[in-house]
Amino acid sequence: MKTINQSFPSVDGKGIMMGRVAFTDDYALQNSLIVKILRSPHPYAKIKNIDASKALALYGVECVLTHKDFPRIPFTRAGQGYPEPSPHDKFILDEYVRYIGDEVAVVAAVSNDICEEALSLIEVEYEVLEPVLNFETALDSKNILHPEPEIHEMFPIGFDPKRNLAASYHMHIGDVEKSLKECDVVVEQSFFTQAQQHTALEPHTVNAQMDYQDRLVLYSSTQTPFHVRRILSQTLGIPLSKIRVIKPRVGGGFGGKQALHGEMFVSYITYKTKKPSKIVFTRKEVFESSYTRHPMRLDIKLGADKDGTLKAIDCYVLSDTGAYGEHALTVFMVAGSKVLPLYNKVDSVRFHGHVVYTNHTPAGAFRGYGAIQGNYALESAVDMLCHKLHMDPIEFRQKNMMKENETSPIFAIMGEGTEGTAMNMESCKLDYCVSRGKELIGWDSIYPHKNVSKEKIRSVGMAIAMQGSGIPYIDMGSAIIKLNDDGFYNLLIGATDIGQGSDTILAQIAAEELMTSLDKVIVYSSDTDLTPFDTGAYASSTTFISGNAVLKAARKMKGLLIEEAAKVLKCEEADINFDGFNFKNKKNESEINLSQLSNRLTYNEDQKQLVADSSYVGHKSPPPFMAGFIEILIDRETGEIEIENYVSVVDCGTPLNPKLAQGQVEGGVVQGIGMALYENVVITSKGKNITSDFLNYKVPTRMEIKKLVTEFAESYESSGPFGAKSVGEIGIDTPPAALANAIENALGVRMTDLPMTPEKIMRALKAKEKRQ
Amino acid sequence: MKVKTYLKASSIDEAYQVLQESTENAILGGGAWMKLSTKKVNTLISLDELDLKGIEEQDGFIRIKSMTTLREIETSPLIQAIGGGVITNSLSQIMGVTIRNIATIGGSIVSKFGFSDLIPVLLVLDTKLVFHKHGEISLKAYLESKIVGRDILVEVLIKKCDSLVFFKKVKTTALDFAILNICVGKTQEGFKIAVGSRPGLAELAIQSMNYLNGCHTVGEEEIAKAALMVVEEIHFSSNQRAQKEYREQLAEVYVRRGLKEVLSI
Amino acid sequence: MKINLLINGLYRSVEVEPGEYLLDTLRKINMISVRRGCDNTSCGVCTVLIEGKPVPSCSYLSVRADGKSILTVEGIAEEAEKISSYFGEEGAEQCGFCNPSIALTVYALKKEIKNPTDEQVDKYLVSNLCRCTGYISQKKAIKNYLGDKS
Repeated sequence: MKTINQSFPSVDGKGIMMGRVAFTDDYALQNSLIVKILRSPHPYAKIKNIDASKALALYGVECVLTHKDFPRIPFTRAGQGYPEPSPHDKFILDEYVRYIGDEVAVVAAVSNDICEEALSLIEVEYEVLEPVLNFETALDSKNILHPEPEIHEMFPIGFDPKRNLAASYHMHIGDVEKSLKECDVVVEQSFFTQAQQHTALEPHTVNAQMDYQDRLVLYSSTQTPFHVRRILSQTLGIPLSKIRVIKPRVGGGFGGKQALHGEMFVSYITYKTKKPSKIVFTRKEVFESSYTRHPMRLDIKLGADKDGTLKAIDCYVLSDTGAYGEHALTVFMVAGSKVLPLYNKVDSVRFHGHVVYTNHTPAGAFRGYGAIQGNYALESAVDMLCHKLHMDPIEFRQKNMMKENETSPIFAIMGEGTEGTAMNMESCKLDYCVSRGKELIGWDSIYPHKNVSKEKIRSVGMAIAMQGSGIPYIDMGSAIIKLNDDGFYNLLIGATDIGQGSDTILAQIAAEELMTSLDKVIVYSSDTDLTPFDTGAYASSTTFISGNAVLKAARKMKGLLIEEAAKVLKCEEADINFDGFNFKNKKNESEINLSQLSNRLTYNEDQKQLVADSSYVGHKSPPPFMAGFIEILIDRETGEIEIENYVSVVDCGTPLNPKLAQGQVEGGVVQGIGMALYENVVITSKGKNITSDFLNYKVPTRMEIKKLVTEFAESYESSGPFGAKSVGEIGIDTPPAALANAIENALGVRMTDLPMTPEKIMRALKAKEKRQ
Repeated sequence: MKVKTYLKASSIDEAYQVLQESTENAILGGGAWMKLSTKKVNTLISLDELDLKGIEEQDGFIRIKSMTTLREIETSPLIQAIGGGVITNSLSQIMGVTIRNIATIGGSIVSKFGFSDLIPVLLVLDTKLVFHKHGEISLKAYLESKIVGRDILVEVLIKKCDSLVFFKKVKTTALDFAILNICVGKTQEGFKIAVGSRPGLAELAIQSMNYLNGCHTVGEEEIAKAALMVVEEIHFSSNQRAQKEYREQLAEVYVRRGLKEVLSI
Repeated sequence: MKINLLINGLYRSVEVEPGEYLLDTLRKINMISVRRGCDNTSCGVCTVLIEGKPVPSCSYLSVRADGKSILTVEGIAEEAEKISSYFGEEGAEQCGFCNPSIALTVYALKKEIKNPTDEQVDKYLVSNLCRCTGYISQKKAIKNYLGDKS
């Protein structure tokens, strides 16, 4: 392997560090109209009247849009394959507003200041309605968020808006109630996970212009340019052929940009006025009016025999999707489908639940996508079970967890919105991950805890996790490779680099297969006109799906090159030896190199442009696996926690670029730590978000993260490009459970709701002391 | 920020005059917290041209001119020598270096923010303020009264202190406002205990201080009692960052630990 | 009002409002490497060096910068390229949105503190958030860069 499994620097790192034009707002035309959104001050209200006359009278205001300007076509903003598994429950602008921050009206003006002033001049009369702010009482509440007759699901997802239900699901294997009754030991617990936010450093932004072919061109900070194009076309009635969406560099996504944000408004405004326009979300808007992680309550029951065999898992999920149902069903299902198979040898499993509407900021995609919530609940409950069984938590997992070549019946049953795909774990090094991680954290010398001083306790905790590699039979990626004169290639891919380095690793795949150097593969990605289709950066699909497409295209190109070389060297293709640069006729030693061949093909003889294309759809979704171990110092008098070390041992098949893969794991781990300890979207009893800036919403800083140790297991997944599985999400899943388990090991208290703040820990400790 | 006019004052008298002309006029301090207020300003008065930067020692006090930045203060050897480096300890936990390069000591004091990490430390040390019109006033008196009107802070005087002063900022992440601030020291004035970010503005725990100053010897028992007294006398409340009960727990723990550290027990 | 900004060694005359912030002024004149992330000094991506000191341009009035020397990452190109190669080695360049501001802050740190400890480096950079890397790769890269005495 010359290029694969090598830690090349990312192809765009230097250019971005040097401050080149790279991100969406850098491409906005200077004279773009500034677009701003008037947002609802009420969690639930009907707009009785909007008077925009004063705003329109202001010099420099181009237009003011209200719900009266749009036909009533419901759609979903979720960036997913079509038909989407999310309900079509959103109108471009509606006469109902459903959360504080929801869109009321849109203004386009020549400057920021004028736009702001225009917003303040719009007079709105609201009929304030009683909001639904508690997701535990939302189901069948008398207050319905979505009474509109036009909304619908695209196929059955359990959508029942009369019950405030965005989606629901039920599956079972065996009889879980019966199994539990027969178990020696049963553990039952509810866990609460909070709304978390992506806080990508680049706020959501998009700009639009009409080009010289009179087509609408969008630059958008998005994870799904092709889905954006389709949704705009279907909803605004603009022919798909008239829209071009370009995704430049993106300053972080993590799922927060896997749905439309401002694209609908700038598209409409620019298409109508023919003037360029742009929107840049303020940080407050990103917090209040983009998306959050789905808060959930997970009711878990586990049953085991006293010899430590796990027999039954029962999991009910109540998920809060907020005001609109983007990603409602799929996130909820992943809480089961990408968590429960970890313990594949149980007799019975039940997974069911409801996803309810509330008047909160809409929830949507966020790295982990349900798996982190499910993992927190299951891996916490497993440690609780071990406690009851007086069994070592690592031993228990080694006995019951998924092993290589095994399968789980859940894979066949649960897909993402549809039926699943059965698969065997051709590659699963979870047992190695667990034993190696145990070694690296120094488990035996600390477990369960060591008293460091009168004040501080050192402890360890762990959890295992799995994710997926794309959505089988749904996610499609494709690639086009073009040969240039002088012998270098353009790699055109739809795949969406949002900072995870997909441009780089996909170039590495092409370079490896074409046996050339990385600098000879020039990547251009995510332009709906110039690059072939790709579903986008989500579901950990890029390495596996887009990677396989690139590999196939590179193989095709190699075939075309050998075909041409054989013509030039006047021999059979089988006689050609190609080493990436030289073509040699084995029979008579005559040679031509790639540079000469490509120049010949371009200018001199038998001229043709060599282009190879290929697509790939997965027939399975081989999961990456991980064991995460945390070491903490906890203050027994204050509950304050210092994270001393986090060890991650990951099986992602072949890490195509080890340093970039490590970056994915570690970035995910720190976001998981944020969810476990620090981050919380706080909404008051009146529905107001009071953590809508970085001063109040606390993400981990570099002072909190002292040490991360990350290793990869030797593993190979033959269905993946060069043995690779995906690695984008797996890192985020384990920290909440690992930390909860470490806290239990230190203080004997079980934390069942996130974030696990020092204050909550002290409260739990005091409650425990009272009971004793 | 909506500003009608920007005025670079050529003298402090001019700055003071313009400040009196309208309540919509304001002094531009560091500007670090400007974004938190969306208020409109008529005339924004800059003191940048006046000689209001510098740190020097005089008569047992360290004199800091009001437009000196927090970063300049925290890196000053004169400041690092006070209270075993307590001011530097406190300042270095305020946000990041970028903000401390523009935030000024003047702005940090007159804003009277409850979450201030600096004010509890200055309360424990003997600190006086010098205003342009009002003249000299103790920090404690300034915080407790409204006696100083719309005035310009010119200088901050901090009494030198050779003994170790303890400071603890309890916070979520390194970039957070304090959940609670505790500053404990034994200065020339005796035992001083200040509690800040209660979430209210910092206060001295006078009764607890008097108790300790009245003790013949101070050992573990006296320390424990003093810490409990602080919880009794200081008013704590709840906000989004913490509930009252937790703040009380923290106060008891860190006053206790602080006293032990200061007395090397 | 008209002000003169000395940006990366060249004077630029710009028309600004009294309440205008340096971040907006700089982006207006195409210094797009200075980025907007949060609007209230809490993320670091708007960092520029004013007279060698890192400040948050989102909260620094342009009128105050009149006549002062300002450095953006283009003004420290050679060092930024060096920093980039260390970052690239550790895989610390992910989305890159924070990278120019980090390069500037590291550059300022190098000039301000000789032989900083790891803790001093972390404290100096604490208000430069990164949501992508988990920080450790950045820390390694910065340490290697600062340790390079060539």
